[in-house]
Amino acid sequence: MKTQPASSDQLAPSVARRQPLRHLAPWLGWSVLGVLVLLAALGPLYLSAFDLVLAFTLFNYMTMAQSWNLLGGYGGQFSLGHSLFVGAGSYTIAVLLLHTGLPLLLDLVLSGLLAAALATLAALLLMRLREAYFSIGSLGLAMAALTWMLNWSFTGATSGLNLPPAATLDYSTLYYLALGLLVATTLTIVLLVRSPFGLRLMAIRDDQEAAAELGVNSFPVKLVTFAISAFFVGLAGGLIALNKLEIEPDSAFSMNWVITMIIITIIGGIATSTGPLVGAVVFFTLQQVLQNSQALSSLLTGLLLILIIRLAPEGLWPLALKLGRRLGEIFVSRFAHSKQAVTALGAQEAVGGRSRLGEG
Amino acid sequence: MLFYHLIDGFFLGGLYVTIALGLTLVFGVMNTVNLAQGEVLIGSAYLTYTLSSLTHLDPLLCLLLVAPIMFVIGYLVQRLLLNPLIPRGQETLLVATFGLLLVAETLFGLIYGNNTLSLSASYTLTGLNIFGDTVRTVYVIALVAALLLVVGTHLLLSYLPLGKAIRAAAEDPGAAASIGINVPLVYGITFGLAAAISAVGGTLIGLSFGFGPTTGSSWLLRSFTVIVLGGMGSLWGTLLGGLLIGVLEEVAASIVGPQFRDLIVFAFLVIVLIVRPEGFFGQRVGVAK
Repeated sequence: MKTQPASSDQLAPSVARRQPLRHLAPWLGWSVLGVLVLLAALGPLYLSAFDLVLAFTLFNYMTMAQSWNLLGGYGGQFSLGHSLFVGAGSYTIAVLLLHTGLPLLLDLVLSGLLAAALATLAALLLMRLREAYFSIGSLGLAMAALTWMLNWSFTGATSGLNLPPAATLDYSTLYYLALGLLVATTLTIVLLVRSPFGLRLMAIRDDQEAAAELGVNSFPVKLVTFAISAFFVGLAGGLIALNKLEIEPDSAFSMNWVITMIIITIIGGIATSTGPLVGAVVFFTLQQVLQNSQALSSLLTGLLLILIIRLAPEGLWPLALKLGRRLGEIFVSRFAHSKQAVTALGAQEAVGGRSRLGEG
Repeated sequence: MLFYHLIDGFFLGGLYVTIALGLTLVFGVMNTVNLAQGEVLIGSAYLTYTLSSLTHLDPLLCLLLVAPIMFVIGYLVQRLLLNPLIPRGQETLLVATFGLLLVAETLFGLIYGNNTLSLSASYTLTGLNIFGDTVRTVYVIALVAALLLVVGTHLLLSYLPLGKAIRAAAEDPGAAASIGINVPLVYGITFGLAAAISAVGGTLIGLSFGFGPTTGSSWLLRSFTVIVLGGMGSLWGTLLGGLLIGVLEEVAASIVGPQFRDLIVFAFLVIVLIVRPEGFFGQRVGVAK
C-alpha cells in the first residue's frame, strides 16, 4: 500500500509501462492463493497420515499466530498471556465432552466462545494498561490461571483430563477442521483489518490520544479485538485437545504457546496478514529439520528472532517483498532501454510484481 | 502465629528487593522493561553454581567474580543489541529482550540440563532466632544485602559523577548528550550495573530455592510485581515494594495454603496494575534523587 507512491516517484518515466503490473499483480496473487487453498483442500488425497498430522500442527500454528497478530500487531497490544486461551479452549472441550452430550462441533465452538468470554473479562481488567504494563499484566493473568489449574481438582489438577474415546477423530477430519479454522481466521482478520473497524484499531495503536480526539473510543475497539483474537486461539486450543486426547495444565497452559505465536509473527512480519503464515512455515520447517535436537532448534529460533528484530524488524515477508520489488525495478529499467520488448516486459513485470500482493 | 509470618515475610521481602533492583534501574534509566530479567537472575545463579562447584568456595564469595562477569554481559547486551533499537520504540525492545529470554533459557538447558539445581553453603539449612521466630539465615543475609544495595545505589546516583551522568541521561538523553555525556556508554554501564546487582539476587535465589532453565519467568513476574507496587523505577519504592510483597505472600500463603503462593503474587500483580499502575511510592531514578 504505502510503497506504491515511493516507487512511482523513482520511476516516473516508466510509470505508464508499469501499469499492467499493477493490474496483474493482484490477480496473480489471488490465483497463487487459490492454487494453494485447492492443494490444501485436496491434502488427504495425496498426504500420508503422518503428513496430515504435521499439516494439522502447521495450520494450528498459523491460526494462533494470525490471531495473536490481530491483537499484538494490528492492535499494538503485545500480549504475553495468549497461552491462557489455548489452555481454556483445550479444557473447555474436554470438560464438555466428558460431562455433557453435546455434539462435538458445538463443543468446539463453545471452547472458542469461552476463551473469548475470558478475554473479555481480561480486557476489562487490562485494557487500560499500555505497552509493557499490558504485556506483564497479561503474563501475570496467564501464570495465575496456570497455577489455578494445577490445583483445581474438578479438572484433575496436575494430572489433567483424558478425553472420552468417542472424541477420537480420524486424521483427515482433524486436518480439515484445522484447515477450515485457518481459512476462517485468516479471512476474518483480513476483512477486519481492512474495515473501518480495523482502521480505528490501527489508529489507536499508532496514537491513542490523536485517535481519541478524532472521536475513536479505544476501549470497545480493543475489547472486541481481544475477544476475537482469543476466540480463534480458543478454537485452536480445542482442536489441539482433540488431537492429543490427554491434556494437563503444564502443557495446555504452557508459555510455549504464546512464545510460538510471537516468534512466528515477528519472523514472518508483524502487522501483515501474510507474515504469520510465512513465519509459521519457517518456524515449523526449522522445528522439523532439527527435531532430533529440540534445544538446538529453540536456540536457533531465539537467535533468528533477535537477528530479525535487530536487522529487519519488519519481518521476512516484507523483506522478501522489498527484494522482489527491487528485482522488478531492475528488470523494468533494463527492459526500458529496448522499447520493442513490450510483451516480454509485461511478463517480466508480472514476475517481479508478485511481490506486490503481499499486502493482500 | 501471624506475627511470625510477618517476620518471615519481611525477610523474604529482602530477597525480593535484591531480585527487583536490576529491573528498577533498567526501567528507571532507559525506560526499558527487561523481559529477560528472570534469565539474568537464573543465569547468575548458574554461573555461581559452576564457580562454586569448581573452586569449592562459598557461593556468596563467588559473587566477587560472578558480578563483574554479569556486568560485562549486561554492558555488551545494551551496547550491541538494545541501544540501536531504542529509537524504534518500546515494542521493539520488548521483542529483543524476549528473544534474549528464549536464547538464555535454551542455553541453560543445553549446558546444565533440565534438572533443578540449588546452591549449597553452610548456612542454607540453618536459621536465626529473631523475636522468637526462626528465620532462614539466607533470608537474613538477603535483607542485609538488599539494604546495602539500595543504599549503595542511592549513594552512587546521588554523589558520584557517574551517578549524576546516569540521572542526567535518564531525565533527558538529548540534553545529556548535548552537554557532553556519552549516553550510549552510560546506558551500557547502567545495564551492566543492573546485571551485576541481579547477580546478588540470582545467587540468593539459588541459595534459598531450586532453579532450572525455565524458572526465570516466575521471577520476572515477582520482580515486576515489586517494582510496579513500588512505582516503576524508584529505588526506595523497590525497597518498600519488595518488603511488602514478601509480607503479603507469606501471610496470604499461611491462610490459603503454600501451593497458592504464585497465584497470590500474580493475582496481586494484576490487581495493582489495575488499581494503580503508576505504583504507590516514589518516582523514577532519573527524577528522584
